[in-house]
Amino acid sequence: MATYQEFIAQNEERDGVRFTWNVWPSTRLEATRLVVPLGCQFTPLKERYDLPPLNYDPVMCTNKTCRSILNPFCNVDYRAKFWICNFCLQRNNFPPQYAGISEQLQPAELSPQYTTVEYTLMRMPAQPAVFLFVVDTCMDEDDMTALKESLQMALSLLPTDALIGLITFGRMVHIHELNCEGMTRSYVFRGTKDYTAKQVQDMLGLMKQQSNQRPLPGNPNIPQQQPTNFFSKFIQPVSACDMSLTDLLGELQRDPWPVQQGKRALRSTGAALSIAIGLLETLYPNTGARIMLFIAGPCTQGPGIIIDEELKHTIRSHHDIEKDNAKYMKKAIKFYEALANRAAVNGHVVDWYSSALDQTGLHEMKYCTNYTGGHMVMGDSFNTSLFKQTFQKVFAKDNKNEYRMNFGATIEVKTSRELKVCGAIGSCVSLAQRGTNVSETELGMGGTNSWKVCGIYPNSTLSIFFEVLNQQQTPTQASPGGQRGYVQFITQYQHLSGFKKIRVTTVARNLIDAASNMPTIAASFDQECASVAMARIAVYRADTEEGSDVLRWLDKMLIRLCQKFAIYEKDNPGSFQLTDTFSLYPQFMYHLRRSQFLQVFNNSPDETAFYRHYLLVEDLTQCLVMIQPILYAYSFSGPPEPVLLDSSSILPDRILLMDTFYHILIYHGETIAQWVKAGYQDLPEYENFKQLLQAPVGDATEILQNRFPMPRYIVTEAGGSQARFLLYKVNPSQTHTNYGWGQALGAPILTDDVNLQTFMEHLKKLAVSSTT
Amino acid sequence: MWSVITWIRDFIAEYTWFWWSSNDSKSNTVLLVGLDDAGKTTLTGRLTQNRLIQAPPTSQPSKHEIKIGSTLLAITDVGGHKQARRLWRDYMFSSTRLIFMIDASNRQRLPEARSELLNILDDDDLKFVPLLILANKIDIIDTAYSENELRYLLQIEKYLNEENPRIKLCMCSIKRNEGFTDGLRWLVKQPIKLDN
Repeated sequence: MATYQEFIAQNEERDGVRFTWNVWPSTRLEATRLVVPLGCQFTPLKERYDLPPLNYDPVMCTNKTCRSILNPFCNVDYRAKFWICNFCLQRNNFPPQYAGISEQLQPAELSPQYTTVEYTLMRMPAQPAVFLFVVDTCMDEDDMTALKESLQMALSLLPTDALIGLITFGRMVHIHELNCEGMTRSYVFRGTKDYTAKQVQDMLGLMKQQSNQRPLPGNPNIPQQQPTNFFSKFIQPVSACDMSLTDLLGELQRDPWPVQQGKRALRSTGAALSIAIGLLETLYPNTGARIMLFIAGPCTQGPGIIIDEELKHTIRSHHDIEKDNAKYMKKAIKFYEALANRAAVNGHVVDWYSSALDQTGLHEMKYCTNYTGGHMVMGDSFNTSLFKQTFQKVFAKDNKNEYRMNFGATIEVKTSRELKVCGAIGSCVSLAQRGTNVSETELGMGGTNSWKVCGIYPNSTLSIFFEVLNQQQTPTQASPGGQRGYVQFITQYQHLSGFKKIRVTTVARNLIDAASNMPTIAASFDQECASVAMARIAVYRADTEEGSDVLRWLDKMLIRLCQKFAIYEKDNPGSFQLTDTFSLYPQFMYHLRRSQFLQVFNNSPDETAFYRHYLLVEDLTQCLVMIQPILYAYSFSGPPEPVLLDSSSILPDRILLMDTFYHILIYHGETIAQWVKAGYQDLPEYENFKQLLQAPVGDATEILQNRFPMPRYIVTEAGGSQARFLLYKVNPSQTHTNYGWGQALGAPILTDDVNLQTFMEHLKKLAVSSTT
Repeated sequence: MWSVITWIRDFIAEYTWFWWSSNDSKSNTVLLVGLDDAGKTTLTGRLTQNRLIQAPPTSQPSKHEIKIGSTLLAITDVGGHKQARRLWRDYMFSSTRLIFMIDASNRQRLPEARSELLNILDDDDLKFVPLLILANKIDIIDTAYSENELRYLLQIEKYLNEENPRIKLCMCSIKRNEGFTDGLRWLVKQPIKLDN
């Protein structure tokens, strides 16, 4: 039998699913006693090149409350041509086109290796996607020039049938007409006013125009049924207007209104976004659309104001928020959250590309990206490779030359009767679908078994949590193989090719009586998945709760997990031992507690929003890197190797490569740095040193290629200012207080922080204590 | 009649300005600047959490609240790397006092620190803003400059020799928790001019 590690890896590879526990207890009480909740990290559109092309509709269970999809776990009678649904035990006849099937001639969706399949619905009409650029014009000339170039380049990266629109804003909001030859025209809106969708329609004459052009005047309000040759003058096919749009972008000027000394530029981000959403809501409801906002500062007037124009008033900090001293924050959050919900209802994605040295209001505006599966990009300037390359990657394609971005996904979770759905945490909104398998207990976005993800990518990952229901005690001899629980994920989405696709993943796990089989359940623990699940719950809670409460909760859960699953004698910390299945978990929790996800000191609310956004989006592996960065060492004493994220790993004759997801850092130890300074790498007899220097650069390049957004790339050396990115992440085994005693290896960290060793000592004491 | 009202208004304004200013939250705002890796965030950590913190380079400014004696101070810690220095000016509009932090042990970067410091000292808009220069890392005895060396190298003698100088130089080690408290006490006691 394969080890659990192999089992987990194989399942992740095949289905994009990892569960916190891979054998489930059969009673509700035992399940809640596992401390780490039963749940999974699910990557619906995990990149798969080996899926069979199924160009037909899936076969569904005829039970109206079930509607699960035929899968390899169903019992099939090939002679009588019926199948039994593994979720509701309903007996279903196969449709006529399956008449030819037999055990030798199975349709792909019944074949055991295809627990994940994808159907392409050929009958669905192709719907081109809409891209709406919303561009801030209050920025430096350099930034403006760089941004204009990036936008012009984007025109060539868009799908050829894509539709496009342009809104610019500063003190005023301009909606540009794209169909006029030789001259530019735009409609101007005041930035201080919040326009309703109806007002936007009326002022842009969207209604009037439609009824004029429409052959059926009695039915003016259903834009999806427009004749294909009709387009609004604001949203045009990129193929028809790319020349005029290139010119228009080229002529774009900075906001002409002067900015007085001591003031901020007047910037109407809120009004612009509101108009953009109103425009698409009217013209393209339920169509894949991307509203891409490029901002160089905070909204300073009108709806969604983050901070007023006076520089003597500073933008809110974590301290202000704690003291309830952030004047505009609550109103702004309400405003952006409402817009986010409107966009999500229509399947529209909102992206923020924020480029400024100071905060721009991502803390208030994060709902737009988090609810719609949009991108949140934060940089210093548009004139940096970080922004330029990140923006290019938005339009990236996979190995099959297909765009990585997809639209309008709904993810529905079916469960066998042993399970109920508690909720989901990720970049999604609830569809409030109260199926029979929805639990009363909520964790994350609960009260539903379906969620919507407007912008979905191969790495998009949801955490989904479950509750086990009490089973009638069946005599063991009745089911020698034990009981199995099933979960089916049905992901419907619009591919950028225009086709609607349905990805179906069905998984099964064993249920056993926890009272007599606890070691089996313990052995099935997936500590990596559990760490990410707990991190996401913590971050989800931190949005509404005090940071210190969240930390206390994490500590309490860690202690309880150790109390339950560690091996120890009561009140004897020395006897404490964790099995391999649990041994890494405390370390992940240690780094999570210290991470920028939960520690806000020295971070702005915008930075916190940015960091947390990606923890809620990325797949399990990337999330783990965020929680506990990876450190590789390169030296002459052997091949490159992963080393502990510890101060003792920082040695003079080593080059280190650290990946934190957000930063890629190359660090030259003291000796290496001296050699570099002496120029050894340029001497022919030290060719091997040159190669050593090159090795981490090559590996870093590889990481950079596959990462979105582009991480900050740092090359530094011992004693360098930027080396602090490394020093604050490593476990401070050596500090200024204990350095020099005993072995003098590694670099001392100037900190009073508790190190992992001390943390573990405390954990052991608390776990074995009979009083906690 | 009107002139009487104007007179009364002016009278009140003149004799109560101090009361007003000391209650205005803006009167006690400190901006903490200096080159990257000088120890600004480490000082902030000391003052807010009373412990030594290994911080990464600061990218976006963050505001904290501290108490010096009985005075409540809002302190804004801004990044010191080259691009971030463009923000210093923006934040001076919201600050009434300045701290300029220098790594006294980094001989190589002292000229860079000096030029940034002189930019501030020569700025007419900041002529009346009290400025505390904290020379940090004096615990690195091998390379740290002495107070006299710094006075000379930073070219600040003429400012320090004024009667009632509006700047002060303080040698400190945040790691050892030494030397900065006197400077901070001096800084909060300095009168400030409120014109905006």
